[in-house]
Amino acid sequence: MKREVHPIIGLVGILLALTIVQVLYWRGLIGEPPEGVRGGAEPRGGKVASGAPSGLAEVSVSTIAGEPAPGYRDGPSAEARFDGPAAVAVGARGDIYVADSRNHCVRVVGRSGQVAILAGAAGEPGYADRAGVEARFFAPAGIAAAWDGSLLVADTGNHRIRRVTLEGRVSTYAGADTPLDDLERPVGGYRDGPSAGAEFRYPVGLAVDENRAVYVADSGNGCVRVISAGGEVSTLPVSGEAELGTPTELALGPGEEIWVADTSTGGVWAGPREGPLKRLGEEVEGLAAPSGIAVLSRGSDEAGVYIADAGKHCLWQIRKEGLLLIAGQDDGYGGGWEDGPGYAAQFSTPAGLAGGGADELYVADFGNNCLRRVTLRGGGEEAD
Amino acid sequence: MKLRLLAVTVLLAAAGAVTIAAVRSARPRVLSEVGGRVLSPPTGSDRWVAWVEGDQEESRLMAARRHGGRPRVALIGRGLSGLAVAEDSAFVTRADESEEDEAGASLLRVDLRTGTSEALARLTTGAEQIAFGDGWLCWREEREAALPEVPFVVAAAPLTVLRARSTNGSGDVHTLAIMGGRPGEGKGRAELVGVAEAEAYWLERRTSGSSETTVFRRVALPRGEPETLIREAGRRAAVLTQDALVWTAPSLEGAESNQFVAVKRRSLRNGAVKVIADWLSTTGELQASHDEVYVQGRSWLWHLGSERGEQRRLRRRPGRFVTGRVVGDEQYLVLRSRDRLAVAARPLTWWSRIRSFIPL
Repeated sequence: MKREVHPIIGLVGILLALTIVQVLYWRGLIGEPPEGVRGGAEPRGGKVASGAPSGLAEVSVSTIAGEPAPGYRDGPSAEARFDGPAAVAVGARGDIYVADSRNHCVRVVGRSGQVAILAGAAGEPGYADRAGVEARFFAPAGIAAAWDGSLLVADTGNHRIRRVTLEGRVSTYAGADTPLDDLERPVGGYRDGPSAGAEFRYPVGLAVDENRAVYVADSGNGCVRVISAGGEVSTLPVSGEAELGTPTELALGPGEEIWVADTSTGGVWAGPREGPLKRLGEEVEGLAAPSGIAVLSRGSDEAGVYIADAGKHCLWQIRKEGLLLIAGQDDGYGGGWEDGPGYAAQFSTPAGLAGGGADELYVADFGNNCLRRVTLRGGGEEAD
Repeated sequence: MKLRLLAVTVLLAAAGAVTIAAVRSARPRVLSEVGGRVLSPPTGSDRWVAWVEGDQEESRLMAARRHGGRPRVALIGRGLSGLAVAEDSAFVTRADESEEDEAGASLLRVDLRTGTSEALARLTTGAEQIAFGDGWLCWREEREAALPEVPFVVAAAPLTVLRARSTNGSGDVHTLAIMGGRPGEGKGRAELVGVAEAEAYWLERRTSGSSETTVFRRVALPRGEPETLIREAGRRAAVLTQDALVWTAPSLEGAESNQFVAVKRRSLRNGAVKVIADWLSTTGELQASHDEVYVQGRSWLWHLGSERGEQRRLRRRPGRFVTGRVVGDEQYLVLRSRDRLAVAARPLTWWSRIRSFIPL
């Protein structure tokens, strides 16, 4: 006896099957994400969604503190609030330090997940070398761990570099008074020489080497400054005719090299630590506004160089043959807040980037007012 | 018989003329054609109406006596902005003639009777808004970002600055508030609402993710501590009358909060708040003239009373309408005529219709 299936039931069955296949595909459960979207020196990435390059499936992104609503709240990381986190650093003990720029303070995310203020007072900009909440910063936007476990902070609005002990005592490491504008705000300046008399203009990114030299992305002056262990400030030279635009973060590699993210020109510069810096070419074609940079070392000579792109709201790895999109989407849209695998994750104006071991990155997700962790499962790919 | 016929004819002609005049007087009367663009829409006092036209390089402050006066050029300059009119004076900022990036601007008082001007203050940039009252002049300056290409350096973000000085130009320039815009945000984060009883009122627009909140604040002049009065969800507007702060709020009854707004009023004397209108279109523009509050809607001009239910429609918007502002008993309009703009006056009362025939 032949049984006939009603055509509507058949149609529903086919649609259901197609839907299941589609869901499985989008969840990444079937099929390998196609790689090498544009190939060559063009930016590459993982899965293609709507024709736009996306991050890698083996990369995982999670929010470790804060949420998009800005504010100030200490406590468990899920309940903590930040306002414009601009830079992040990982301390020797594994604690994570954040330059919480619109709150004008330095916050710490402990290994237990508790968020606390280390120095400065939320919502009270100023300049004061004191301890804990008595100290004052003005929109700090850079932070790095120093040789002795203390922190160096780019006190961007005060045009100074500050030093913060893990007990919260704040002192001025470099930078002098500069003229005030009609709103009685310091305008910054440019002067090399002894650190106490040196002048900076909107310093942002910081990096510290094993010889206690401090490298400063002096964004307002469009150059990289070096504060030697002896306290002498100098300017790193650049080679060629190109000029640094607005350097905002820098990172040191294991091969005695320095990497600089240049936000306004969309470029990346690299060179020996004593200079000169040279602008990278085709290998970084496609960046919009590189804002953060970090180097993950894997052994004495191997390193992966990673870029936070505030213009495209995503993370890249620099490779010899071109950029590799590791998290977020290069789709021309304005970013978002989404945890998950690299191809699904979303950022909003990611600013600072810091390495946290061989396969972890921390992102100060400025636009989302939160701190993100990026885990490169399998170690990611290595720079040549 | 002939005399009676003549008398009736004259009477009919007079009645007809009066009727035609009455009808015609309700229509907008063109004051002048605009040369270029309207940079500041018409605003005025009991005696004068003024506006700024032209372009940024050469802008002209135009002024006319209310109720029938002929417009004339009161001031020519670069980048005239932030117009306010008080009695026989206009306050406006004029950009320096320098080509340098560091060029600033001057806040001027222009005597509209004589066309003479005097500088009251030096500004870094031209003021976006000027408000006055009780001997004080307040203005809003928008400072450009120090690092415009970098969206996350808060210290270098654009700023909105509210400042004040006495109207006679004596004493210091006081900074009332400095608001750091979020990096990447453009102008217009804060708006000056007005000055009343020696207090300056303004509103701040604060964004959080995709939501926006409007916060209404005030400060006692010249050096008080800023105080937050009201917070309303969404992008709101406010005006100041002689005795109340009036602002738009989410509709209390309208199901679609993005289509309808309510209007609330807060007494300056005792802080009492009440709703004076609801179900108004979100496209309407809140305006105030003396103690009267108006909403210039998509098609109508509404006059709001002091209580809910007292609102009434005054006039239909003319078809060539670009923008308009109620000044006293007249509405001054910018109308599009073919490819040009014109400034016109429309009486809102019978008395103002009659006065438009009799320049005083």
